[in-house]
Amino acid sequence: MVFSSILFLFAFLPVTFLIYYTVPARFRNTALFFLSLVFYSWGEARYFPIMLAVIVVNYFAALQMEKRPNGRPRRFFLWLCVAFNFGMLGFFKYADFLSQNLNAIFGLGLPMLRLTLPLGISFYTFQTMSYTIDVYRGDVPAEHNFIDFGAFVVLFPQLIAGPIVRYTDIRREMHGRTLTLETIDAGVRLFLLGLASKTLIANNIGALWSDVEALGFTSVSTPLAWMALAAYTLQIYFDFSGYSLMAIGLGKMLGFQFPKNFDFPYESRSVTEFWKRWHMTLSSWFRAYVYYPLGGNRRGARRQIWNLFVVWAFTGLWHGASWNFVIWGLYYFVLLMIEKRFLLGRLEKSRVLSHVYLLLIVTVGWGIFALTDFTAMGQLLHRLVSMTGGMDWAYFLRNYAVTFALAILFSTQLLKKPFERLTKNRIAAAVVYGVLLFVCTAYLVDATYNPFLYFRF
Amino acid sequence: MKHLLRYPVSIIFFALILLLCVANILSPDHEASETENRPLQQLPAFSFSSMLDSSARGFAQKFETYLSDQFIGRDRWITAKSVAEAALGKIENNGVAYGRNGHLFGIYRAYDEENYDENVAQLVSLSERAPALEKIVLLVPSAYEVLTDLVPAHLGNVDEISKLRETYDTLAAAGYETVDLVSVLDADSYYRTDHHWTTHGAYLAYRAFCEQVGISAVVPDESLRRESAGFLGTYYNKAKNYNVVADTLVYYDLPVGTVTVNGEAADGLYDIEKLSTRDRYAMFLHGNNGVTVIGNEAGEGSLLVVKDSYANSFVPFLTQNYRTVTVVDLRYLPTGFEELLRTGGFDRLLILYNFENLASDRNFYRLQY
Repeated sequence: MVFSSILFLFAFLPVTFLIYYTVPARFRNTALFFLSLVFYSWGEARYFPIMLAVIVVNYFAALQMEKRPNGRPRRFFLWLCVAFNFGMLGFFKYADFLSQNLNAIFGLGLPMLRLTLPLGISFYTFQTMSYTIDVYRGDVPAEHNFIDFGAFVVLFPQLIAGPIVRYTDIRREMHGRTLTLETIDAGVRLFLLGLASKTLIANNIGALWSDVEALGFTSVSTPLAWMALAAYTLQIYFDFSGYSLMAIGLGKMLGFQFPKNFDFPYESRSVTEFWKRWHMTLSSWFRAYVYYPLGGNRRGARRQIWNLFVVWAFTGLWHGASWNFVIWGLYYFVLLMIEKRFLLGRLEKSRVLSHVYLLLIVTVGWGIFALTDFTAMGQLLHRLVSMTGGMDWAYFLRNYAVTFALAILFSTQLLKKPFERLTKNRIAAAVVYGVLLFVCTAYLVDATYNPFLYFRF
Repeated sequence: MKHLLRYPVSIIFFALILLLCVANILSPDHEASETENRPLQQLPAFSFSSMLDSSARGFAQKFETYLSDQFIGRDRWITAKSVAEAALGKIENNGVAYGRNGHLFGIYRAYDEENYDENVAQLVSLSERAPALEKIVLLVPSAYEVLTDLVPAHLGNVDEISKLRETYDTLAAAGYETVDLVSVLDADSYYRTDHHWTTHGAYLAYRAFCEQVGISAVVPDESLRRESAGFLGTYYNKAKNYNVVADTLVYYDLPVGTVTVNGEAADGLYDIEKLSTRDRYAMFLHGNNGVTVIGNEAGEGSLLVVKDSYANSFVPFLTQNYRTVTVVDLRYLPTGFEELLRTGGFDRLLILYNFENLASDRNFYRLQY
């Protein structure tokens, strides 16, 4: 089930809130657990046992680790979880990728499995691992209540597209949270902003990208190629951050405080800064569970470079089982290295140039990210610099001008303060958010164009 | 209660999702959507196996389609989305672009050239199988190729004209006569809100056809002219633009003899009842059918027409010249064409297709069966 759908908004949510708000507080986790299982299993009921297995294995392994204060048995249960969780992720997400490469290298005839991914597997695997590793490290006690633990793993708001919520982030709230009208209201507002980001901006501007992709990059002019890539750049931001906002909003409505995931990343002035503001929970997960355990920067410069290389190769691979994602990750590794060496200081000197630099880097980066087909990627990248003329962009510019302007405006903080001031007024807020919900519903009912970008994850 | 009123956003949100949820449950389901011209998904039956089926046939996907298909006020929501798109300065909606003077144009930036060429090859081979028959082909360009002044600038649609020219050369070499319709059709030849040509456009093509084959075109008496105002066609059904300018559908109540549709007697050239539905163009020739035969004692000779829906408003004029006109729509005639051609005793074969249908139709192989 996805958030931006009639099913979620007008069937799942009303039922969920009716149940959640009426059951006694001590049954809230039970309600959440079962509702989230329905959310997870919807349309993929055959994957229900997988979720159950993930919960059972990690639950019991953590209890075992807690019983064994140190030494090999404790480590055994950690590695059991690592093997199990990443084994699942690897099987479903990367088996075909691996087979393809083995077939290509050794001429084997390994068959493709073409499995659909269990919903949110990239996200819940990382979330569950954070728990198991933290228990192993002794940072948190193991969760003894099976329902509470199950509810954490399959919690529907952040199940499919983040933020990657670590167990430590919400442990206290899992055991007792207070619902106030104030936080519920704040949650509703965030949810609606996220819904609008996804339905009104991301889908709309994304249509330009898919139009041009359908035309083929060899048959468009250089200006149109740039426009299309700019459209994708905005689409992926509003899609992804919209999802995170919806998740954070839903969390608040249920009484959770999820961590922030995006902080106006396109306003950054360096790649280093960009990655502190884009998908923040993913970067911090990699830092905490890969980079630091590898030694971080404590084992000399060479080792640090290696550690960063590993982190970015895996960050790329996490985004999808294809080489272009790895290249995209390493592209950022190289840029981060360059910035670390000398560029960062220089970037700080010029406000304008640093913004231009970052936007250019990020936009071209999305060109690598968007196209798993290397031929198409080559065609697009070539077209960006080929100075091919033509007027084909004129129609698209006319059609998408307002959408572009709005998307660019809302990807910066320019309107943040005025918007907050405006919506402090209750009547203004009611009108603004009411209209957003109404228009989003209209777009969802129309739904001719509602592709979900993150099925790859 | 007063406390609650401090949170109007939440009140609106929860009230709306709850109300719509309940309203969707209570409101009766519809069989089909007239606007969208398709049956709507009904509440799927639940079973354990359908629950486990994750494909489009499974319960989950059908249920989702059911919810959005039967969503209360569906048509009005779709119109609201169209208005929102216009507010965003968009000059298209759901694949239809807004031209000048209320003209809507399909966005058509690519076509299946391979399939198009295969269809043309089928016509060439048909000609080889019937060398003695007189053959003529009329290929109708889409509106945007004729109403060039009204199309949004740089829409980037397919260049049908040069492809059609190429096709005419191929078919002429194979023994077909051709009629260049681009130079014949004028500004009133297409509906604003529908992809078809108007009766006026069809008449212009009919005149050119007559000239080419050397018969005299009839001029229908004005007293036979009938109008149906307020026609909103296929393009409108997609775009749902709030500022739509409706069309007027015109037809001539021409005298004919017997009309049979798929072997059964039909009442005249038109299905007048269709004029009170959304899909009014379907009134011409009773819509698309496998084989339609129109007799007219006053005419001469026997004509076979292989066609798409563009011909439906064109054929009525032909019936004034021919003793029998036999109309074949390959989409609805799986087999039997070969026999019909062999035994029908036709004097002439007319192929009439619009470019987009010629490119997309996958039934031309049926010309061999």
